[in-house]
Amino acid sequence: MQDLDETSPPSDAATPPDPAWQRLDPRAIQLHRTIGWIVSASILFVYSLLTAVMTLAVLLKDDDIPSWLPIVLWALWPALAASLGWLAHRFPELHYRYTTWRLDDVGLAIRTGVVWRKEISVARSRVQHIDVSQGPMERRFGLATLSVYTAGTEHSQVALDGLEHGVALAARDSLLPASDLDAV
Amino acid sequence: MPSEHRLHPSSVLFQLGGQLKDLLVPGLVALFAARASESQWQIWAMFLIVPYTIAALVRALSVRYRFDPAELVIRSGFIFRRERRIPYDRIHNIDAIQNVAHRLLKVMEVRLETAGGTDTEAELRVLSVEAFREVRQRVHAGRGTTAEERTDTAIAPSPPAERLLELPVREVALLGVLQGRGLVVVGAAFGLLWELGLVDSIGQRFFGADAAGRGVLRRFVLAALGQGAAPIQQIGRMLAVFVAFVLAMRVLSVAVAIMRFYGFVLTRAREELRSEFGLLTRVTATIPTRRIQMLTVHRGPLHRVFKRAAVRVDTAGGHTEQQVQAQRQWLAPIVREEALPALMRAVLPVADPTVVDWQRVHPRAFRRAVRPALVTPAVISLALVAILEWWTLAAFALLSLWAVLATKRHVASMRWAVSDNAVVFRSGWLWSYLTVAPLSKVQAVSLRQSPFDRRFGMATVLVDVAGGHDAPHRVEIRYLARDVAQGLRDRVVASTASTAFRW
Repeated sequence: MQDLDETSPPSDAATPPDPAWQRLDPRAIQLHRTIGWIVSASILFVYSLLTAVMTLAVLLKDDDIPSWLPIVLWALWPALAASLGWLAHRFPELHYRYTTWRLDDVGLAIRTGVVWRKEISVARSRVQHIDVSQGPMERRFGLATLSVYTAGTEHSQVALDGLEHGVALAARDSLLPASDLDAV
Repeated sequence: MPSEHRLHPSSVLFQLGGQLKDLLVPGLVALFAARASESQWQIWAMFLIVPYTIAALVRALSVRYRFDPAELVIRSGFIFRRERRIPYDRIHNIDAIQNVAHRLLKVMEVRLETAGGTDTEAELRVLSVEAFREVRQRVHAGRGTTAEERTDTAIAPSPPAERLLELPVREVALLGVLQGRGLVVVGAAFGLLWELGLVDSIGQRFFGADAAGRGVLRRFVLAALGQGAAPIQQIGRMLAVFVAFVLAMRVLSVAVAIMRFYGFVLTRAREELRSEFGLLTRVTATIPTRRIQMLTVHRGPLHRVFKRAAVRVDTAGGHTEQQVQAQRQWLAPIVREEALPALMRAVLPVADPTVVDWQRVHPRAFRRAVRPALVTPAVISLALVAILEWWTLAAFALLSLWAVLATKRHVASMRWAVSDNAVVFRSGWLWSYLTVAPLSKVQAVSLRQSPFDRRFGMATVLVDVAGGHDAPHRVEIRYLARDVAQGLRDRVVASTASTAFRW
């Protein structure tokens, strides 16, 4: 796929469908980073807990656990913390750079994926229903997730998160089929 | 006000039978447990079943249905009343099941399905055969007609049915041979034997004492290397058992096929396909041609030997009971190659079997596909290192050779085509599948690239349709050149955008 160098500024709340490819809201980077840090912290916490338990068992002369194991695990701790931290910091940036979407007369198209790239296209007439949802973290940043449901099997739900709330609502209103096109 | 109909009088029997069948095993278990233990409370608990059964009976007796101009109305219940209205337009399938008891009394269990949902929309248990035919006619008449044409006295005369496919017993037996479903029965039998503790004794009888049975392979290899006598007798016995097993499998499979598909008839009445099949349990399944989302033609290696094929359609709609669903999907479980084009045209007019402009995948697809294909032989060889030791290299070489050959043939077999009406995709070397996805049924299109794909400049196109959950093959075209993939995607999306989707 061609490198996604083309830039177009993110649209604001009340823009009608824009023919050019749009990006996510820049605050999505911070949102994903925050979530990444929380997840990394949880993983490290569980890891530390398990290692501490093993250390304790070895200190109490438990024969099941080899004595070198806790030492190795503790030695690996900084490396694990560093890689998780780097991932939590870097990946949202990449995700932001490689995710674009587009809403026009034809329908909705989403390009996403850093390593495994994906482009999904849903025509307007194939949209069954649409959700705009906000998790607690998303609410704090003023972002929302747009979920488009189709009758397909692999792509029964096409989700795009990291959109500004108003933008997501506008996209939903734009995609809602006119009542006389209701075919089901 | 259209008149109300009730279920057949014998529905009480069948409703009761259904309840008892569900409660039989737990009831027996409770009974045995009660006998073994001191307390008798289990037996008293069983009396709770009685009001449960009475409630179910009441429900059966209280069902009334009528044919309103635009919808079918089904009412049930005396105390907790329920009214269900199903517009004729929404009804996808009307299926009927008859087991031996049903056939004796000339009644059928009728199930109505609508799009989506996970269960049957309405179950009429049981109706007489005439009542079932009336339901089918009324639903058919009520569908897609204007309001003026719909009156409750308008029952169109039964439309002339065109017989598309009829399978004599010989064909059904051949189907059994081709399907190889014997393993299912064996699995069940094995489970039963295990429960009864007979597996060990049978094994002993066939393979002699344990010590002599094991280590056969190692002794064989040693014999090949000139050390020790070859265990000819053991191997001969094992081979004999194996061959007998395979033959028994096929015979069982034939029996299973005859049970399931005896008297298979596929007819087309206006816009509906109807199939009837079954020996003891007779199933009548209907599929409106409009609801067909995807059609797949399957040919296995044996199919090619006998010049047959199997046709399957996928419809949107509930995941109904396995029995009807699984068998309805195989529209024509076995059909002769010569008859296939005509059948396909009758079933799905956009599926033109005489496609001429087949396209191939990227010329370097083999190079892209071969490296991942070598992973499996490597993993298998690593797993067998402990047993084979130095022979692992030979095993790896053999497996890799097979993987390379299979990949080459598979990639060479991939073909696709797109017309104004449908996307067609063919793939598979030994087991080949040809899938037709009408453009009017396409839901979403996606283009995917793995890191390998990006290096080679390829992409995968997936054309998504409704109802393809259990499909063995779908229109997922791998190893396309990137610009070709994008062109295909754009063409399909443009076509779906310009048409409204009608269930």
